[in-house]
Amino acid sequence: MGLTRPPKWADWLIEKICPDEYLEEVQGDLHEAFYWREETRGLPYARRKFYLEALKTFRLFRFRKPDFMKNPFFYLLKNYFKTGFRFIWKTRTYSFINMSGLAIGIATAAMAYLFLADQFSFDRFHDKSDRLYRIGAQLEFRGETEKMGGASYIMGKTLPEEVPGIEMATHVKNGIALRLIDQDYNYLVFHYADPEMFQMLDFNFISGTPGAFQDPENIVVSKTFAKTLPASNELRLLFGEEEKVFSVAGVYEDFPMTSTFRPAVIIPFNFWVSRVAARRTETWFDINMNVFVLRREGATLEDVEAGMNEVLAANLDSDMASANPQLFLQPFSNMHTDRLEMGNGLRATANLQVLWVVLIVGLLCLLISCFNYSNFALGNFLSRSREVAVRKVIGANRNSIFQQFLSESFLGTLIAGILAFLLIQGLLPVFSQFVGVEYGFRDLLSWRFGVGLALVLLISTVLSGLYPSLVLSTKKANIALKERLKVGGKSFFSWFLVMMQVSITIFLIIGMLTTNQQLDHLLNFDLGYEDENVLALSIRDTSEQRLDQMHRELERLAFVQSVSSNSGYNGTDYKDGEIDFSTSHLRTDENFIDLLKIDMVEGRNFDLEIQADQGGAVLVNETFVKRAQLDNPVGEVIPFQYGNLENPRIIGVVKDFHYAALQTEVKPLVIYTAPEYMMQTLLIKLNPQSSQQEIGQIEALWRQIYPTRPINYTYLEESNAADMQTETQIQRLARSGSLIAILLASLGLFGMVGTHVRQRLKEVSIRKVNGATPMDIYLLFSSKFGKWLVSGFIIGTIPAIYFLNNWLNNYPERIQLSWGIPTLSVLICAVVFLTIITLLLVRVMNLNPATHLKDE
Amino acid sequence: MESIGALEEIILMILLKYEECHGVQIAQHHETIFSKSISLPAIHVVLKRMEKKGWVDSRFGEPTAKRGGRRKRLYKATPAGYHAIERLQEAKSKLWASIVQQNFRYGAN
Repeated sequence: MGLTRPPKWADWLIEKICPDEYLEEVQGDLHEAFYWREETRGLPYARRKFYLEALKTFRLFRFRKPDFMKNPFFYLLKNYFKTGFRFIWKTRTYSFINMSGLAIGIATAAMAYLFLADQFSFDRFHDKSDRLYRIGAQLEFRGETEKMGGASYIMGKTLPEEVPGIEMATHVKNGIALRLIDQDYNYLVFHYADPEMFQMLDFNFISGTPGAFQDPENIVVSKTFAKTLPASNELRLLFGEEEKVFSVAGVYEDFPMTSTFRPAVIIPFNFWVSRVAARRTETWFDINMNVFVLRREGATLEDVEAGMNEVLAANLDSDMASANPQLFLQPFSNMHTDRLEMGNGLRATANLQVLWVVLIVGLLCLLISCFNYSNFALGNFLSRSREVAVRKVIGANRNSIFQQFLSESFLGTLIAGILAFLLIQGLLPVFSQFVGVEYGFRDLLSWRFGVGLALVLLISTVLSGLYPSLVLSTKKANIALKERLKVGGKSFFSWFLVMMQVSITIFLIIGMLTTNQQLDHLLNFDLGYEDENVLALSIRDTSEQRLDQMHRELERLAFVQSVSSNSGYNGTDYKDGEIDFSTSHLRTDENFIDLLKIDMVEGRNFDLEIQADQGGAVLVNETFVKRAQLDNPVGEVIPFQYGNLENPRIIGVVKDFHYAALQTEVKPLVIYTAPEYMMQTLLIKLNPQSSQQEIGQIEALWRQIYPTRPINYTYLEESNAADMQTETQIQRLARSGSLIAILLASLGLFGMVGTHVRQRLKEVSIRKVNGATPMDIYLLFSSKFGKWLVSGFIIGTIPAIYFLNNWLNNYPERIQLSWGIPTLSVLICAVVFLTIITLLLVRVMNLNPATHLKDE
Repeated sequence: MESIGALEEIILMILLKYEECHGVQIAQHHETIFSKSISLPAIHVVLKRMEKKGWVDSRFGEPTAKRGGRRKRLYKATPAGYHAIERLQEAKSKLWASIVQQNFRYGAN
């Protein structure tokens, strides 16, 4: 070797640049090449090359291992995962069943989460939504507090001026007008609003602006509505008989579906003010619109509410004092779920009851599947005590065993998580249809969902991994090698989990059966009248003449049995000395009672022949008689007063019928024929099996008599069923929830009993050799399972009965909770579970003892 | 099939011909065959890449004085490496054989 050496600082450079794991090889090679090149091409060349190549070693960076991979713990982790995978693969049928169980639970909960997150995200998309409120009013009425969403015009005008905590406010009111589209008149619902609204809510104008929004003829419309406008950008509306032409000043992006307030057309509030009597804008408790309020930053809600009530007290008429009127603010974000008595066009469409059921069903399914998973994984892990013993003998300490099982159980939950994602993707379209809201997979990609999923995976990991890790890591190696740990028989924990699963399943099944029965009860309930084949048309026309004509023409049709009009049910006070209650009243005609086949208890129906009936006769229902404390109601003159109808005489008593939704009790009712109220609904009793063609005839007739009114009809039976929407939804949720629950619990039991049986094959073999019959074997196992199933039944039934009794108490017309339903639920569970157990035990009962005794 | 780069192909062939080599030997063989020098880190990068693909295998060899007492890493082509290159060579020679041998030397065409 000569005197020359590779340049020192280039060497230093290599050491700096080249990744450590390649340094020895690369530096050695470069040195060697230096001498070789010096020999063949001379020193300068060799030197030049050395510098250059020293720099080029940076290219090896691409092959550098990340630092964490060099950590010994990482190798250990890799080993754990590898053994984990092998074990999962070895027990793949069971593992797959188990993981898909957890996946089903996660998917169910994920969808429940999606639905709930969507429902609770309503009205939060406005920038200032945390400071937006709508004014509500609260009245006390015979000891009952009634909360209404809405305010009067003067409130919206005065309060922002006098309450410092209110930054600004806007009136918002629904209006309805007729619009001619292709020769047909259609109703158009629009909104009146003040210019402040565009500063308070997040309006995104695509073209134009609202401007000052003072000119009543300049309106703004949503993008969707704008598409229906003619090229002239004019909107022609019919208010009564008078036509108004509006020009569109701006088009805004539609509000998202998660908005309670989704205006299509907004007309300046001036328009409404200019067209109503002054009394409507000056009366403090003329609540017929909404007022949105923006709270000033820094002001508290309580201060603003207190300020509002001060102003109210100063302006209130004395005759309102007895009702103790109070104003309150309803946060914007609560409008969707918080149902008030009255909405003035903005009603909560969500039902908290339904949301609760979704939450409970989702959580319970998740819980079952977590238990399930843990229980099974537990059994599987404990059967590996021998592996652990070997690891310990080789030198594994307690910590590393602990880590191994935790990382393995994490691997399992991770796979389950991936399965859940696939499942959700497949089920989302079905679910969207089920709840009637379109969800995409994208909706799931929020941080909240991510955190939730991570939490679920973590909990299942801990539940399934912690106990076996503890047990296995503390077991002495020599003992573990000698005897096998058993699951089931002695492990209280795993049987406890099975019991919890069974009880949750029982809980859900009882819930499902009860809601089923209650809904059937409500749907088949004798309403007290017949709603079959009755068509209800809304009239919306003030002319009695046209209505008479309509009646006459309809009665001529062969398939029409009977025609009757009514005013709809309204409310008023009834006072008779000490007696004081609120009663419904209805204006109708003499056909009403016969058309709906309402039973008369006493007296007679209205009679056209009798003059006195025209003004001064009423029918009342049984509840009215009871509340008014009338002993001999027929012939009695009562101090009922409405419009010009005063002190009428009762000519008959009708049996109570459920004119309002079945969820409420029947209220007192007075029926009269005096023209004190506009007729609003036209009832037509059709022959059974009336066809669409015949309804077409009614439509033609309607068009002829009411050319400018759109026809709007429903079948009474259908609209009655629509009142049951909440109950129907709850029933569907409970049904699918309990199906999933029973599926999951069955999976759990399958895994549990399966592990149990596999572990005792040798024992069974010996018993068989000693003469045990298949029946003995069957009893040996099933008696043990039976004990836990029975305790699960009991634990599940008690809270179910408690909760359902509470729920049923909401209904005046309810089923009686008897022992039938719990017994049936237990039977269903017992049959399913026993089938599973028997299927698994058949193998053991018929096994050949030789197969399991010959090895070892 | 994974694609083979031009340098990968050459180094793999060198490894197949000379059995076990380390970086410098590969560079030397390359120079004698192509009479063109090649940078060592380029060879190293290609070797690492092929090792990842499973076409070559390596082990540490003995240290020498010229290397400053550092061990060399000896590379060897694997059967997978052989199969990867085999198909490519067959295809190439088929293609070459199908080309009509022309004389470009005197500026024909």
